[in-house]
Amino acid sequence: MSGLIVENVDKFYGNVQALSDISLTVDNGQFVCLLGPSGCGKTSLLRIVAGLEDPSAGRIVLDGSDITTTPAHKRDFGMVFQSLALFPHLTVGDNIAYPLAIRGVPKDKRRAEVERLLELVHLPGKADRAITQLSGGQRQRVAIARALIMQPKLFLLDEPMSALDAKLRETMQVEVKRLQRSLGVTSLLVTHDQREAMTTADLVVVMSEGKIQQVAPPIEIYRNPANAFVADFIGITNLIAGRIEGGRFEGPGGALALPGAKSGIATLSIRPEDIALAPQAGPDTLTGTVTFVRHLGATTEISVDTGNADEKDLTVSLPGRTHCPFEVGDTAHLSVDPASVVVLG
Amino acid sequence: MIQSRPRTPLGYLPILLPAFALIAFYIVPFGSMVGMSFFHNLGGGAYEQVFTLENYARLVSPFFLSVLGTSFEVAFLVALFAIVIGFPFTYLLVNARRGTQVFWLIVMLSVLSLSEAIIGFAWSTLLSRTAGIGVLFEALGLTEKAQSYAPSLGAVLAGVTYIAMPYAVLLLYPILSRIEPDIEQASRTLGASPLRAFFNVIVPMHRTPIVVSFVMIFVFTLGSYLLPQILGRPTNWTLSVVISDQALLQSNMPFAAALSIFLMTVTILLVLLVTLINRKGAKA
Ligand SMILES: Nc1ncnc2c1ncn2[C@@H]1O[C@H](COP(=O)(O)OP(=O)(O)O)[C@@H](O)[C@H]1O
Ligand SMILES: [Mg+2]
Repeated sequence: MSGLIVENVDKFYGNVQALSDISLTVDNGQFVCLLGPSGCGKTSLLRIVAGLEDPSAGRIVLDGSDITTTPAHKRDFGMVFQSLALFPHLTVGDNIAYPLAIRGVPKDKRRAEVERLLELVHLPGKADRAITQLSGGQRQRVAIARALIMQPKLFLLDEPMSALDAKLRETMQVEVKRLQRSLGVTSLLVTHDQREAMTTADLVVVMSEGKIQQVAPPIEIYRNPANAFVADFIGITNLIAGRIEGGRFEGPGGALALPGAKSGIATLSIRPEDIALAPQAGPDTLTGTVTFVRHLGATTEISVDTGNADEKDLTVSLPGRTHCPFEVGDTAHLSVDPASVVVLG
Repeated sequence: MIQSRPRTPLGYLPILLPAFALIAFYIVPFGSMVGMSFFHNLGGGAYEQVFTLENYARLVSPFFLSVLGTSFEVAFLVALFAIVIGFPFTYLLVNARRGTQVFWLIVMLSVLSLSEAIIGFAWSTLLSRTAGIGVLFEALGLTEKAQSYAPSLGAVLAGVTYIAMPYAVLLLYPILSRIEPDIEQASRTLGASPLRAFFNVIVPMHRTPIVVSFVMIFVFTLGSYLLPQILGRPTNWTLSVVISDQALLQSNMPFAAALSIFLMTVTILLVLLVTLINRKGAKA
C-alpha cells in the first residue's frame, strides 16, 4: 500500500467536534485539495496529518505504516503555513537550508541545495537577502522551497496563497501545480477558494461541518455534485425543488423532460451556462419575469424570477456576444438540455 | 501626530508642567550631585564648597575597584540567571492556558510588591542552619550535618535573582506573547524536536529583546544595596552598599556622590557597549 490513508478520524476540541469520521486515500504523486468553507475543519485535518495535532479517534497510515503517534519532526513532511512562518532572524538561504542544518548536512552541500531550490522557485541568487527584503510572492516561494528541500514524503499547504492579491495568486497556483507535477511529490492543499482547488488538484475533497461531502476530480465535482451543498459551493448553480413523475420534472415556472429520472420529490442543480433562451413557451420550458440583466463582458447574466423557493431567482448565463433581447420586467422562456441537469435526492 | 505649533504663548502651557517637573526632580538633584562630588568633605556631614578632585582620586584604589568588580559580578550573574530561567519560563507561560497565565502573572506582581527587607530576611531564614533548607538536607541525608548557606555570594545571588525574576518575566511576557505559534510548529515539521526548535529558532529570534532585558536587569540589580548586606559577607558588598554606607553612616556626601557618578558612568558605558555589540551582531 503506498500513499497516505486517513482512517475514520475524529477530532474534538473540548466539546466542539471539528472532524467526524474522516476517511481519505491519497495515492503517491497525487495532488489532493481539501476544499470547504471557513471553519469546516480543513486545517484541523491537515494538522493531524502533519502530526501537529492528535486525532481524537482514527489512524493515519503512510506507505503501509501507522504514523498516528509519530511526532511531527520525525514524519519528514514539508508544510507551508498560512502565515508562511518564515524565520525572521535568518536569511532566505538559511531559512531554506534549515531542514538540512537540523539534520547535520555540511555547509557547502547545503549551499548547493539552496541554490538548486532557489532556481526551482524562480528566485536565483537571493540566498543572502533578509526575509524583510522580499515581496509577499517571493516570501511564498521561500516558504515553498523550505518545505521541499528535504524531498518530503508529503507536501502540505494550508491556504498558502490567501494573503496574495488575486492576480499573483493565480500565477502562484499554476506554479505550485507545475512544481508538484515536475517533482512528483504527494501533496495535500487546504483552500476555501474553489478556483485554487480546480487549478491545482487531481482530486478535490469537499468538506463541510467536519464531514467529507464528496471526493472526485475537479470537473466531476462541477458536473456531478453529490449533493446540494457541493453543487452550491462549487461555482454558481440554480437549485430548483420540485417533483419528478414519469420522466418529467414539474416545479416552479414550468416543467422539464428528464427521461429516465427516478420519480419522487427532487431538487435539480442546473448551471447558469446550461440554460438557454427558448423562443416561446412550450411543454419543456420554465417561464418567469426578468428581474436583472448584467452585461459582464465575457458573459451576460440574466436573473429570472420563476417563483422558485426562498425567492431565489434563476441565473442564466449567455456568452457575451449573444444578443440579449430582454429588459427588466420582460417575460423569459428558458429551456435546458436534460443531459446537463443533475438530480439531487 | 499633530505637527502644527501652538498659535498663542498660552498654547505652550501644557508642556510647562512636565518641563518643570523634569527640571525640579531630575536635573536639579543630578546637577547638585555632580557639584557635590567635587566638594571637600569636612566630616560629620559638613563639607566645603571648593573644587577638588580628591573624591575621585580616592576612588581609584584597589579596594573600590574590587567593590566595583563585585557589583558587576553580582549584577551580571543575576541578570544571567534571571534571563536563563525567566525566558523559558515566560515562553511556557505564554503557551499555557489563560488561567495559568493569570495565576503566574499575579504571583510575579506579588513578589514585586514585597519589600526588599522582607525578602532578605525570608531568604536568610531559608538558608540558615537552624530553620532552613540545611535542616531539610540533613533530614534527607544529603549532608552530614545541617549547615548555614548564608551569608555568602550564593545567598546574595539567590535573593537578588528572586527580586529580578518578576522583572525578567514582565519584560519578556508582552514580547513572547506576540510570537505566532506557527513559527515553532514550522520548525517542528521541518525536523526539529520541540527542544531544538526552542534553542534553534525561538531563542535566536528574540536575541534583541533578550539582550535588552539582560541590560535592564543588570542596571536594576546594580542599585540593589539591602540584600547584599542582609545575605552577603562584607566581601560580597556591592558599590551601592558602599554608597549608602558613605552617605548615611559616614555622612561623607561628596565621596558618596563621586561613587554614584562613577558607578553611573561605568554603567552607561557598559550599556552602550552591549547595545553596539548587539546591533553589530544583528546585522551580521
Ligand atoms: N485549537 C482549537 N481549539 C478549539 N477549537 C478549535 C481549534 N482549532 C480549530 N477549532 C475549531 O474547529 C473547527 C474547525 O477549524 P479549522 O480546522 O481551523 O477549520 P478551517 O481550516 O476549515 O477553517 C472550527 O469550528 C474551529 O473554531
Ligand atoms: Mg484553516
